[in-house]
Amino acid sequence: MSEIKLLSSDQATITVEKSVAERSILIKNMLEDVGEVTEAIPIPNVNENVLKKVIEWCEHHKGDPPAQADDDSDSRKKSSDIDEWDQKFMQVDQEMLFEIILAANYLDIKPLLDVGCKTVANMIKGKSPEEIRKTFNIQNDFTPEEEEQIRRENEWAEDR
Amino acid sequence: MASNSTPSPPHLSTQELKNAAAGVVSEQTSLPRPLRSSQSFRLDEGYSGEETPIVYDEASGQDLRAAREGVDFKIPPWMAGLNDALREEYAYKLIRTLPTSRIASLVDRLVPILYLDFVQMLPPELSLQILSYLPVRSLLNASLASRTWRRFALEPRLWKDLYEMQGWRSNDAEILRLESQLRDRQEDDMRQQMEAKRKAEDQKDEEKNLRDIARRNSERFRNSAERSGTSTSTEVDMNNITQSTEGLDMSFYSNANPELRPGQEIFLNFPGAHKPSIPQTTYQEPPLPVELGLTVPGYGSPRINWAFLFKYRKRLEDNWIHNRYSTFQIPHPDFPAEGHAECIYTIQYSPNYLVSGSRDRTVRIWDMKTRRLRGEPLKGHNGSVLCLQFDESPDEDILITGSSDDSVIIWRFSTGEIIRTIEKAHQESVLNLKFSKKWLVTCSKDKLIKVWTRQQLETTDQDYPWHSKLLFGNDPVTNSGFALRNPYASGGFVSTRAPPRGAVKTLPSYTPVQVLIGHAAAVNAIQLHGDQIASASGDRLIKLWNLKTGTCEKTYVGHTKGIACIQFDGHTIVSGSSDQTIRVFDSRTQAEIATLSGHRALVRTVQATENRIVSGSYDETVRIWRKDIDGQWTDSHILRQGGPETHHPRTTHHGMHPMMPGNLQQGAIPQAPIPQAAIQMHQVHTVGPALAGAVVAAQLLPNHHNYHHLHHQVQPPPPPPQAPAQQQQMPPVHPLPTTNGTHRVFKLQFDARWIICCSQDSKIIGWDYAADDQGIVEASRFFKGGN
Repeated sequence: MSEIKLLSSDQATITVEKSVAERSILIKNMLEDVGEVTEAIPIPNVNENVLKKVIEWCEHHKGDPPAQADDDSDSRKKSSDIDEWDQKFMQVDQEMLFEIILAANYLDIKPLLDVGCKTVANMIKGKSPEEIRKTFNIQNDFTPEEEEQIRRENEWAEDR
Repeated sequence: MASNSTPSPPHLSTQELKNAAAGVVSEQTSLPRPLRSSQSFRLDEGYSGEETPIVYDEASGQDLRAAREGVDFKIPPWMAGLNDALREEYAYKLIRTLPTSRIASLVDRLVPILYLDFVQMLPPELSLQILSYLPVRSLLNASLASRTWRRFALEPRLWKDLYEMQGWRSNDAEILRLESQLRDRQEDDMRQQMEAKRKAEDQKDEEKNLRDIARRNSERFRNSAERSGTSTSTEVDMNNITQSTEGLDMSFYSNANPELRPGQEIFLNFPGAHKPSIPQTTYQEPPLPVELGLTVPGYGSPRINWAFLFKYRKRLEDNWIHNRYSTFQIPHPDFPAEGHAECIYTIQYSPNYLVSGSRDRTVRIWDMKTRRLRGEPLKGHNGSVLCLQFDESPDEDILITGSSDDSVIIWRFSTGEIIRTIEKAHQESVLNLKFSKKWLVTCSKDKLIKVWTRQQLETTDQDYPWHSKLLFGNDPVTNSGFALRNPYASGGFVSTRAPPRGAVKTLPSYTPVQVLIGHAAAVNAIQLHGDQIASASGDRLIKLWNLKTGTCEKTYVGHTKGIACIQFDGHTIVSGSSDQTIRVFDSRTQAEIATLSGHRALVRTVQATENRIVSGSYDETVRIWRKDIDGQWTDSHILRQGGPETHHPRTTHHGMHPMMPGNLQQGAIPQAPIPQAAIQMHQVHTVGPALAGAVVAAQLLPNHHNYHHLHHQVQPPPPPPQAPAQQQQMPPVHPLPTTNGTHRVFKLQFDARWIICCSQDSKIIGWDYAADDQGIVEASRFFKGGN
């Protein structure tokens, strides 16, 4: 089983199974382009902690069937269902969560990106505007009048 | 920054804080801490690496106090050198020395570190992806979080997805047309501005003029920002600025913006979502229009606002569910003389026109907006006009009608002139017809279906009907040359057939190219879909034919009496019968998916969409069937063709006729009872030719078996001698002469907004589910809901 090395933004070297690292389309394409590499591949946008976390995910999911290429817009599943292991995996602080999302986006690991985004979506679902603000520390910059107007405008969604 | 002091951050319990903090792994964060600022238009991308350290309000206050007291808050080097776990332990110990009130205030200061406004830090496309998993209610709640969040939550693409997920369809051509109109208008504006600018340059007073333009534009922008106008007007102004300030390097949308990421262009529609790189302007964030408008600012020019479409489509659907509508009639009540003299057998409408064919032998074209007759009634048939189809588009400009005089007439739609008359199209009444670009298909009481070429066909034409038994007979002649030219030869089953020499020739337009023989009774209705024809007959059978080969590919058994109407969309066949049911078949598997019972007489007309079926019957009602969430069809509402509301056009009904499925006693409809007098007085018109097909007793066609068909089905059992719909032909029970006819429904058509319907009455009745809601009226031209 061949292994490769990754170099995080904070200069930590992490050794990882090639097949695991290739869950990242970015790394996979890179390896295809350059062939054999002995040096560590720099991942300049991801720090060690996040990179380790991402690799943990890739290791658990290395047996997954490859994602469908046209899985994108049409058949994009609206469901925000997340399997149990992923749910546990995503039980991290918000900063880590958003770092994972950014890293998955940068490294082009679509299933991980989807899980990350669904996790955040689930944090919004079922919450009132106030609760959403609280959850994400959002500064309410509406005037009270505006807020009231929008609240009324949004009422169309109620069944009538 | 400190002046933007915000209300104290959300209060959380210590436990909550601990939970949130428990997972903190990284200390070396590459994320900027959230801006505590009202400058929400600054869309932080997460990588921007703010140069200046961000200081929290409370912290800066503390720092100032500390400075006054001469205390140095630098962390001593020995402590900075400790690992995370040790520093955490020290911090904890230190905190535990504080009184609880201090700890609480500390918690307040720490919360913002743990709770992050991701919309401010993630690239826009990722924020959008997050929001794309939200249902409508959550998305609207999110839109109330802040201005920036509102922009994201109202992104049209999110709402387009939601719209499509509802199974609603849209008129994409109309959307494109609107967007291109807006683009053209904007380009005109731009051109005018360029010209103004060039003139200004001609005056050799460049600097001054540029200053003027800048001032003028920022004023205009301010004005537009202050105006709570529609998003459209704001957008146009925005773009004017973009265009006219190019020379001043003030562009909002400049592609040269090095910070722009791929994928970010989708966000350019948000004027505020960009870092405005305008120095020293009194930039003011334009207020978001509170109400949804038809369009939103787009990349370059305005785009359709899918949130707006969603909102009003939902209102419209709610109106269908709760039976809220207004009604109208054609002819316009003020111009009754424009109407047909007798009952109307057939109608079709488009957004602009409605065409009707009547027992009075005329065809009338109506303006849908004014509901007035367009021009003179079209005269040409010598019998009732039983069926028609039109296409008003300039490249077609055609209307084709079929009549009980056995003829078919092709009219020029725009002028009403007869282009062509096919005198003896069939041996008996032409009961239905459908055309596509290439073909005209007619069916008749003579039990036949005929396919006609609409264009002249050369032998080199790929549509040349090589398989036509009508043209080339039934005798296979081996001819390798023909087999090669035959596009279906490779398909297998007719490769040995070839026309006799001399029969191959150019076919003029409206030449019959196929006769489809197989039904044992009148063919009452047909539907054309691609190269497939679905037919419904008095012999109780539905057949699916291949137009090119002329063969019957499938037969659908289920109805117990003659079939009057059919719809076919390529997957599903929906048919209405004299057995008083509507049946839904899977066209591929031939399985009967559903049987809709409720009508109390022959089902004469039916139309279906994915989740709605509307049917009209000789029981004088129109029924609306809805597919519920389990995929089951249920009878949701009944419209009474002869009900009193039809005499009061433009009456809006709210919550009328809530009918329970299966509880359809005629007398149990209090809102629209048929007056007893009307029942007694009802005059049944002499059963017209249009009815004949539906009531034809199934007979075996003589010579039927002279033709060999590629039936995959067992031939259905011969229908019983009893005429399936004989009762329809019975003499009227109360043949009292009266001007008020009965209201057997002959034909209906519906779309997302309207049901329009003709009957034994000489008036056409429409139900408008916009129910006078102007928003729905505005949005409805972008909806699709019919076929």
